Amino acid sequence: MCGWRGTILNVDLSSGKIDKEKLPEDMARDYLGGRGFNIKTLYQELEPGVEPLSPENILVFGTGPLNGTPLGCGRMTVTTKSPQTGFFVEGNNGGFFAPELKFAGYDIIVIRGRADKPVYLWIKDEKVEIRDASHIWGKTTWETDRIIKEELGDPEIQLRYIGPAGENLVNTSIILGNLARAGGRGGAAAVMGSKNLKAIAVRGSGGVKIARPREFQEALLEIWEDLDVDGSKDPFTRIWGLYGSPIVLRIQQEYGTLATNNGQEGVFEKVMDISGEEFLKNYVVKPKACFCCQSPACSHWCEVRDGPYAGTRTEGIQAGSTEALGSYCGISHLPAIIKGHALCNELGIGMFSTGTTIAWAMEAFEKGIISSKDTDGLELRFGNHEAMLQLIRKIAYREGFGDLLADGVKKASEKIGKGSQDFALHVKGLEYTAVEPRSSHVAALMHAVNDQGSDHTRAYPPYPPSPQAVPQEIVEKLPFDLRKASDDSIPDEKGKFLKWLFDSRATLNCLEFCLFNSRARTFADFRPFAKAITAATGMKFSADDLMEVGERVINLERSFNAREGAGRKDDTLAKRYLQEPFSKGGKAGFLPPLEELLDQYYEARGWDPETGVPTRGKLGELGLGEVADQLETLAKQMQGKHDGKD
Amino acid sequence: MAKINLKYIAHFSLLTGKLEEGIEVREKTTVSDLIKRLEQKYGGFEEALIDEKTGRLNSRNKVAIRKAGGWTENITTLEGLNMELSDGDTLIFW
Repeated sequence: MCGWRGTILNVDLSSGKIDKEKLPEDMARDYLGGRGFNIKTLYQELEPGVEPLSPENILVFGTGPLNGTPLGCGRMTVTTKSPQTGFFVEGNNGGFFAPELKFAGYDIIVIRGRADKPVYLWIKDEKVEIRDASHIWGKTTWETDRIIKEELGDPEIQLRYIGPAGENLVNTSIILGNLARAGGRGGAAAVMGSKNLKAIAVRGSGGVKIARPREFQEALLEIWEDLDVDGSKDPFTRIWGLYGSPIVLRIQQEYGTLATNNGQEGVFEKVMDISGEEFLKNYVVKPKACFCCQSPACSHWCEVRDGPYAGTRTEGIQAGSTEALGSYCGISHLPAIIKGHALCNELGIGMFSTGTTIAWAMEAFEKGIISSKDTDGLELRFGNHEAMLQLIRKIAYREGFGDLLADGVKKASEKIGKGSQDFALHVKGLEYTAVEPRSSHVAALMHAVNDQGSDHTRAYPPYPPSPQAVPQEIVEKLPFDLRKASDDSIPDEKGKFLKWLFDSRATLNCLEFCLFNSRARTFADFRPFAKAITAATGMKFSADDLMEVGERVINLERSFNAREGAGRKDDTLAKRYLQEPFSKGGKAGFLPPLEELLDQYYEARGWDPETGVPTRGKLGELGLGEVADQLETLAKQMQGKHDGKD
Repeated sequence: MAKINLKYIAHFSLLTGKLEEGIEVREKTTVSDLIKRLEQKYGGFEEALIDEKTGRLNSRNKVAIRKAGGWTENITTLEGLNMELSDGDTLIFW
């Protein structure tokens, strides 16, 4: 195959069996790669009701047809059934692992079963072996990175690994690689830990064959032109190229949507202390980027040079770090936030979930719902960064009060009770992230209907394309009214717009092209991607074909969750987001009319408005007739059980 | 005269050497007038904000406004460059 390597690597940790399977051509065409391959595999293999931490659950690492080409970023997707939500969960990691896996000859790795002792997987081109990892079990991610590279004698080996949090089955644990490239919120690392799999190491010496190199280069130049730091028509391309995403904090502040003190307000008085400008001026050492990325500095290597956290060195401070470990917790001490970010990465827990959970605990403490007797003596007040750092460790190791928080904010608040569930900020059990649901109609809807729970990365950027950046013929064909979709004073057209945004971003996730990079012309004009994928693979794709893949993937993801009992009842927001508007700032008073927005969204999707589940007609249109059969059978079984009880 | 607040984010903080400042403008001053004034004072504002061909705001950078007690909105969704400024307005350049 061209573009794809044409091979699925199957690893059964229970039996030690490793085999290689040909990538079916129809799967490549219908799902493209990464996110699409993964949900197709997960849906096909898992029976409804599988216990997420049992050997029956699987972990799928998927790459796309563009990984390993000069156009492909280092993105890839890991997907599994979440121990935190009971639904599927996926993480989109950057770095260098995905192209290396392609160079070794594989598109997908499927991990099944459970090893009887700690192991790691070593892939060197065609040679694949399961190796003992007893000596690295308990080590941090950074130690693991170093030990495996030294052991195998190659500093260029690419890795995905878990830290102590994944080993300890922490629900908010994540999988990392390249020291700071993280993904898999909802406990993907706990699933990996449950399988006794510490790491996957890969080194490849092959390449990715391009079917029509000259056409591919033309498409590549079109896409790169869109990403040019000086020439791009997107407002974020240039500023992220210098500051990285921490620059958005002051923008959020000015729009009144910087979640502060567990989302009690949208303005953080000390924002200047944790701003992107402050970060760049005093802590950045050098820029960092993924494989072949055109953005000079989405990430940075940074260092704290003085004070109590002097000597802290880490990578990948994002807006998410300074929000979740900063304003959410009322913390304005940037060195402590950097230290917290480093700890999260080294111990292998997610910053968003950790910050949101600690912020909830701080609010519960300040409201007298919990006391220092519950918190191992910690004075959990907003702004107490020493307490936050201690809690991060406690969560990763499930020590004392940290054991409660290690299950995530939903379960922790249910155990504590006393009204604390009202300010536990999550959707479907997954903690709130980044884009405030009270910032716009689209943001609220985006969080509520997201199939893996609260998350901003599957609908990014969360605003409509600029008519100045997108060719007029594309603007005219958009399946929503751009003017109304851009007017946030009204709810109109937001359902149609979000459907388009979810579908188009799902397509990019299948291609494993970075969402941060498709923001100006290619935000809405997919013709350059169609040209690139056609030239790379030799299979003919139009822009409409690509969009249909995204829609198919979204429908299959929703169907996976529907099999687990999910529906409209789960498409909701924390009570705070529905009933407590901000009292000050640039969005004071706004609350999203969620039910109206849900109706719009289901209508745009062609889903049943009462259940929020895809209809047979819609699934049939997308070639998912068998999925419709299964959902109907399950619905009848459920009805039968229900009738029997009556 | 009207007192207005200016917030400079990212490269606008580099152009001005400031994160924010307060200035006074005459009644009926428009956003366009303000950009001309900032161009004269600091340079780089017109190149960053105005489309050479159309003379309108480009899509590469943003100007937002928050009226006292109101929501923050991009001025392109309001009256654009012709919008008149009032006492207490906050303008955000990013």
